[in-house]
Amino acid sequence: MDETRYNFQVNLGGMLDVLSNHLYKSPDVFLRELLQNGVDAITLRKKLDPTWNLGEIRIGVTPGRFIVFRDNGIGLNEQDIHRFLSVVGQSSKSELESGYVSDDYIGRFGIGLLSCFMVSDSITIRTRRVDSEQGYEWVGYADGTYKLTPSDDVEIGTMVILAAKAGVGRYYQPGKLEHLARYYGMMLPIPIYMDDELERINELPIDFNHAGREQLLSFGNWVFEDDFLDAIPINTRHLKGVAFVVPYRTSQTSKLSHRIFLKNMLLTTSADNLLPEWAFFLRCFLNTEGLRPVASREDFYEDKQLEAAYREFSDAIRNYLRGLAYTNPDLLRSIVDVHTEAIKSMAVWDDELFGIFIDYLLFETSEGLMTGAALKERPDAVYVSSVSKFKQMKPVYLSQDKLLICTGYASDNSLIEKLAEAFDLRYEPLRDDGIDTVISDPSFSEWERTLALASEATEALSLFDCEVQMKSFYPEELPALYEISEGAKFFREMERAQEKGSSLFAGALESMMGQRERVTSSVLYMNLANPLIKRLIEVKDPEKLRSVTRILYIQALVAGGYPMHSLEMSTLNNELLSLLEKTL
Amino acid sequence: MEKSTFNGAALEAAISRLSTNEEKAEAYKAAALEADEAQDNYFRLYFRNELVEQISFIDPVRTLPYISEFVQIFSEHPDAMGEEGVGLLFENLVYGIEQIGDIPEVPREQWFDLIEEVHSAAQRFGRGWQCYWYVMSLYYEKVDLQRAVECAREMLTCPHDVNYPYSGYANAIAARIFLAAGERSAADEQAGVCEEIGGDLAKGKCYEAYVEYLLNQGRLDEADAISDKLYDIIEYSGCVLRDWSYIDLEAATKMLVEQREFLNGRQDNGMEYSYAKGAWATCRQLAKHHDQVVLSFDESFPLYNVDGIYDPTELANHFHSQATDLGERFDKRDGGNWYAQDIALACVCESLPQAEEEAASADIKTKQGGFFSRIFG
Repeated sequence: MDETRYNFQVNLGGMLDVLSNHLYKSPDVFLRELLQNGVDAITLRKKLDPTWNLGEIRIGVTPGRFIVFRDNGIGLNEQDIHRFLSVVGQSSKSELESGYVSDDYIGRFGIGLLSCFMVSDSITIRTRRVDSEQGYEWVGYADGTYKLTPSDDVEIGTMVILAAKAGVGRYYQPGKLEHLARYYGMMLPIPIYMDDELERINELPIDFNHAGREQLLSFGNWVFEDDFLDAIPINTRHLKGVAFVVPYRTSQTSKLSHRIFLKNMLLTTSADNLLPEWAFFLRCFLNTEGLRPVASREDFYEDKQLEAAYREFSDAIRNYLRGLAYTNPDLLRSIVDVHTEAIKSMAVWDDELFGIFIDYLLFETSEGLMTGAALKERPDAVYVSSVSKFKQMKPVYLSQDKLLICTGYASDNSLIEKLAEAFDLRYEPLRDDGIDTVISDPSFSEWERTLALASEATEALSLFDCEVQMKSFYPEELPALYEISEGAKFFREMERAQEKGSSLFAGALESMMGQRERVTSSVLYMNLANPLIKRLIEVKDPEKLRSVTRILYIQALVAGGYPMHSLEMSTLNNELLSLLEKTL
Repeated sequence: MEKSTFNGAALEAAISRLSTNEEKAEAYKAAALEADEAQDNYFRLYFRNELVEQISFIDPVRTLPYISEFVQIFSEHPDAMGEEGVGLLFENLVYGIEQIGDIPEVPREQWFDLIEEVHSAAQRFGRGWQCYWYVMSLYYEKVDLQRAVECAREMLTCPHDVNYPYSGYANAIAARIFLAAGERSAADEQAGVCEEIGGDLAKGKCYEAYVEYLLNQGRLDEADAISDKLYDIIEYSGCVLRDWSYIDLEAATKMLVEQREFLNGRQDNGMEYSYAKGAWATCRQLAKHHDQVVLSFDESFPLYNVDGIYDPTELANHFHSQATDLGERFDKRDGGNWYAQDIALACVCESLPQAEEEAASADIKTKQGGFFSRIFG
């Protein structure tokens, strides 16, 4: 086969359609692209004449019909028009800088003007270059054709005229245009005016270089309409601005919007590839330098510069929080209070954040809520990842001056293990037989004296497949403790599913459980140190003994956080009524 | 801990950061109860679904109570999760039915009632037909192979329009059924698809089918090649244990103990049966040249000895009896003899020269005190 080279054939109309109607997420961006061209044109004129300092952009509108966008930048001559306006992908900025896009310019791709086709079927441009007397009118159409005619009475600079196409009338309203100009151009150094008004609409009400905390917070309220907890100044090679700490709980899934600018022009409100995953409790107002946008200018191109910016941001936040631990620990504590879950989840993975925050993080323990700093003072502890087991064992550990930590909440288990490792603490998980370390067997004489009670009480609980054992433990006020093995727990889960789950599965589960040997390794430990149990030993009335035993069983079950079954509910009612009848 | 108003998304974000399946399962249990209290039906379903996923990695049969709850809540609030909920309904139903198939106590009628529910759901929602034929294939696999082949063919022509069975699962099960029906080229074709599109679990199912099939035919070398791939995916599989008994008896002996510990407390009869079959093969190999072996079974093992010294023949009898008991229960439920035939094929490789050589040369610990005796022939 011949190695003849062929050229791609381009369907110009189709290409324009793709670039103008499908590249961007929203038609809103047409104004951003116009602003960008206007700013770059003014920058170019200023380069030619550094003493000129009168650059401005004006936006006019005939409601529902026309938009007139004017800049007094460098303008275009006939040659420029043919080369830049009429060749897709050719940017005057890249041309002028011999392929290199100077940091002075925002645009680079030469396709931005096409976004105007989202709101207009034609684009009319009246332009005159600063060093020329001749002006021109260029009209481009969405089918890829254009016409060019010389025109007199054209002022220096460029005027873009758009005529409303069907269905986009909302963009041809002064309020909408002013909102968009402010939204995208809030940080632009070039003044923007509506029509012939004198009041500039894009002045930033803050100077980041000299603003104090209160001013930053006030600015945050102005931008995001939130009363933030704190404002963290960011000033790095690639990033300048503020990260605001939101005053309410957030999660990674609820994405907060930011204002991320590239060379002072709003680029994105999400910036997923710039901000770390853990920064979900922050809302950022940042201007970036030295990063590259993707063609749609709605995100950053992923390269080494972006990686560096990402690291700079992380370091800035870490350094600030580390400093806060010394300068304003109360503020750090209040940040931690609001964002405990977020901070815990990131501290598990980030050693440095762990180091900053651990002293302030709260953990539930048998002695109440304790900070990481307080835990560091306690070299021995047991932790349990089941909240129900924690609730059940909490009084026992408390009365024996032993520390039990609940790690049943997300991230706590990993954090406690990490804490123990980092500070050489002897923290052990509560084992299945862990209960043996806090309760003790009765003496022989006690055992002998309570044998009958244990037997009768076990009989009373036979319908729950629970054995009663007599033990001694503190606190004395606790009459009984319920303990269940994994196998017995499975039976309880199955029974619950038969009661509360789908009737479809209930039959199958019943068949399964009905033929399996029932695991009865659930135990009710009666506390021989408890006054009620001491009196129970003396009770001779079998009915009373049965009622009290069953009520104690259900009380221990509830204390342990185990959901009650219908049999247990009805038993509780019956036995309480029975006892009441006896006392009346 | 300070209680705030229910925030399912925040809970999910925090739970997703936990590292182990056990931790996540505990957290999802608590989260599901919180969602119940808050009467947030989306998260009642969502957390139960996540809980089922986590428990499926720990002990699949234990997912059943939560699948049952998911199905019940879905029936009361079918729109709570929108389209996503429909997909999850199929996923939970089908996964649950798969587990039911591995419980010999559940009669086939009840098993079929659940399959009918998948049929109704497929009719109601206009999708999920592959799910239906998938569970039908499993339902007939061990009692009516021809019908199972027909169901498998139906399954393969259905669109994969809900998440479960996961990509490649249908092909793995079809391959297993085609192998049993003697349609090797059709099985290989499906295995190829599974290899291409399937995840690890799908591939594991497929490899397991081939290893069982090849070992039953005495094709040890072929089985071993696939067994290696299976071991890379699933650490404990009864058929790998069976394969290693003839290829690397020392490693099989180690796995005999480890896999027993792994199965402790589990409710999975399918795995238990597969293990018992493999363990039987291992102990028969050991018994060829040893009167006693030292093994570190824990106290829960029914034949536990404090000194750790066991008679391999006694162990072989124990595992054979365990496999036979389970097999008989399954056969009784199915009204057939699939398991009896399967057990009869379990040790066909042991007379192969390679297996004889391995039994004679394996370095097996035979006396407590730490020295190994190597016995030559």
